[in-house]
Amino acid sequence: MYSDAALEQLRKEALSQFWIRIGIVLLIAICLVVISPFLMIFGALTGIVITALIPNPSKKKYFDAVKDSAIRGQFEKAFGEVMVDYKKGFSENFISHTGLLQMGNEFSSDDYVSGVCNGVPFSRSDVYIASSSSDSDGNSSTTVLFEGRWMVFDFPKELSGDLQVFEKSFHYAKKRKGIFTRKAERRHEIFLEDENFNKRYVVMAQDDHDAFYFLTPHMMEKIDRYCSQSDGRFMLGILGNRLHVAINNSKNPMEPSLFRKNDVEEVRAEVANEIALIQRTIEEFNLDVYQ
Amino acid sequence: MSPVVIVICVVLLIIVGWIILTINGIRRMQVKISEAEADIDVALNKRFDVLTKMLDVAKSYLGEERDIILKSIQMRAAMTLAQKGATGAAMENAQKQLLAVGESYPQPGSTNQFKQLQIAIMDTEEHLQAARRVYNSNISRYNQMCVSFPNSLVAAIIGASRREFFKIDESKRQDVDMKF
Repeated sequence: MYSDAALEQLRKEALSQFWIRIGIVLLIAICLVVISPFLMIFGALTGIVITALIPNPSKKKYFDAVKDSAIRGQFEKAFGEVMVDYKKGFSENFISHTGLLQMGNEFSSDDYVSGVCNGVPFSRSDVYIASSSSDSDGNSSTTVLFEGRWMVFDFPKELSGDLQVFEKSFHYAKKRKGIFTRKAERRHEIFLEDENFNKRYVVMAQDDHDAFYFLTPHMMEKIDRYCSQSDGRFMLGILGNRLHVAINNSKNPMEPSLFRKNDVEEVRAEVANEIALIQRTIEEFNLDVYQ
Repeated sequence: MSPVVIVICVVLLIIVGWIILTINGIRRMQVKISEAEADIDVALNKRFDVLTKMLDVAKSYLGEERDIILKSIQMRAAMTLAQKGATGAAMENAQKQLLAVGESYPQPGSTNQFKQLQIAIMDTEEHLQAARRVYNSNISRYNQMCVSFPNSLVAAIIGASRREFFKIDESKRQDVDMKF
């Protein structure tokens, strides 16, 4: 474990390493421009590639130190024994199998944490899904389908089929309702008694009873409150005995930055926010009711 | 064939198609309502089973009252919706009394079996509520279909009329209010 002062020292070292590399690239470019402008472009590109490819050991050391001190330490303090892996996350297969989200052709996931909170096993990870394409003119475009946190909790009740609830502003949710979806996996839209809830959310279920069983008037109020307090667009899915909560906030939290002063404090605040969110999710959805 | 005849044929075809779709829609809703009613039966039966088990656990503290409660919550064949509502209310009352026994007497209340049954009864209660809400939601959609024009014309032709919502009869709820 590093002290805050030691972490700040590491950040400064990594930052100076970064600027040294930038300086070298600029120097090569300036030297080459004297010879030929074309060579300058070539040189600059080569420099950028070298900067990106050759690992900066100081930066890695700093990132590892922050994640170990701020992320692992805080999660352990809150939940006891936890499994933390900054480089790994949920697999593409895992997210794809939920059938909750459209999958593009780019996928990455990191900052995996799993543990037990109030007797409820949970896991969370940051997930990024995008779809890249290029037209006949060679113009490429990328649409981000999801960027945010994905949380999975053990669900204490048993439903006969899948249930999905998402805000209407949550784009790229997969509804699994078309004729091309296998009948066993097909969901249909449910309209509840609460008109306001119907206006704001889409409820998809394989069985009407499941939707009305989970979405009691009290639970609908809770979901609405939970969404209002969330920092992004919300979706939940109950698949088997698992509750999936996805919040699309276009952020990758808990990431250190070389350019932020007092970076560790910011990362700590983000970790505290993640911990509070896990606790709130368990409380709001009564996941610990039978523990 | 003259254009007028073609237009008339197309219009007739559209009308017949719409009538068929509307009739199918009404029939489909009727099936969904029957399914939802069957769901209520399933939930009531499940609740009855759990209550019976709870009564067995607490029988030494209830004495003769056990049989009275058991009789009041008994499910009968071919019950009307109102009777189902009354039985549901009786069950709710019996449930409250049993939970009170669990709180008053530490012996049955502290057993694992009693606690598990308490959890089970809460779960069956939630299932029953869900079944009622599904039923009422289907009834609401069906009634809207039956009264809104022009669907109401087709509904009248096939004899489909508004149906009652499932509600618990408050007076019946009072009838089974037994005290220990």
